[in-house]
Amino acid sequence: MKNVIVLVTALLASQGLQAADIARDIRNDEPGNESFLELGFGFFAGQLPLVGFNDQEAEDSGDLQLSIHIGLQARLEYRGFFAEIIEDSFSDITLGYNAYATDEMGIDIVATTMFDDIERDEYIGFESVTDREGDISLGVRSNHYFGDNQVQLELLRDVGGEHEGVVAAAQFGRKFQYRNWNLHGLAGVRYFSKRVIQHYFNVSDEESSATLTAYKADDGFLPTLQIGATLPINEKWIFRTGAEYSLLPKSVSDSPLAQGDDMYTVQAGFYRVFQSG
Amino acid sequence: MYGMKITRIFTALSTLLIVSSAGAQIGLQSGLEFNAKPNRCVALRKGQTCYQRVLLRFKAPETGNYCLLVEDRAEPVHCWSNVTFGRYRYEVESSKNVKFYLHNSEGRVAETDVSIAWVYKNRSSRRTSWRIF
Repeated sequence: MKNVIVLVTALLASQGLQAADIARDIRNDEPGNESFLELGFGFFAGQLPLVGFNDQEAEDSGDLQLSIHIGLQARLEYRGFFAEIIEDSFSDITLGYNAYATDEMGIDIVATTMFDDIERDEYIGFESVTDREGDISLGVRSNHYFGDNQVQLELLRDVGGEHEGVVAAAQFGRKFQYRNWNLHGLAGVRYFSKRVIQHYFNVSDEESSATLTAYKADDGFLPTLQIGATLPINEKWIFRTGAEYSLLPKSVSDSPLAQGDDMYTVQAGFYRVFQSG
Repeated sequence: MYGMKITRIFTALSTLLIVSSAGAQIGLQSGLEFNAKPNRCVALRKGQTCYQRVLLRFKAPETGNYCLLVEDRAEPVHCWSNVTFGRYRYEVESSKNVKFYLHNSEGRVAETDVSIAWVYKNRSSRRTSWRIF
């Protein structure tokens, strides 16, 4: 199923893409509904203290990671159907249908992937931990626009059969323009039901070892703050930078599979913009 | 030898670049040069106000009194007395192209402009109803 979504998205992307995740709308001073592709390069610095999520051994997990990255974000819309990949979004790939739209609000039915497959058994001390399959969630997303402010609400449930958990999110964003800089701030909280966190962060009795205690997670909230800026360089290139900080749910940070209680990213890059029409 | 040739090529290219980034001028008086540099201001999204500091320059064939005017403003931005050339820095703050005019005692003698451009040129058109395919 996931492969099918990736294939469909790739096909859509090849025709020229579009966006409506709040992370895109608030940064770009416009509610969704356009096709675009942004392709670029830049640097990334971040810390994510979760073995299996960060390509680091447990003893290094939580250390600052620096990298040069190739960035891509895009969206394609056709007769209300859309596919989007937004770098600053929590979701990886989102397919959806825009069922309602006015100047004040929009309602989308969405299918999205939030977590990839997590494999921990290749890391020292985690050999006994079984792989966790990534999820595919189906749900509703609404966007509400109030001048320079935007609120996005999401309600998603796993339909891939991996954990059948529920994720709900509320985010508030505000945008500013200072000369040709487009600045934004975003604050939000994401709720993960017990099933979601248990799927990724439980340690069963069979998986437990002398260094890894058994653990059963509860539900939890992930509060997040994000700031960002976009500057046009010319008609085809933009400079984009941003930083994000999140406090991990206590039920995640208490897991023996976690090595810290917060995460952050800082990134900046230059992007070539392609837009249809 | 090759060094000189390369220098000349660079000089020619630089001249081309300077000319292409300066505002297209319409000289109503023969021999008068008037341009804006840079002549383009880029904002992110169509309709946004664009901000750009531009240098306006003129060079006249004869000494005179000149005034710089901006479209939609009745009063001159700056005036010069008994000069053959002048320069003025102007802060463009606009969502549409800005025209500049050079006047002398006889009236308008030249004009140039700064165009406003955007990275995202399409404004989305949002519907006002439910949609079922």
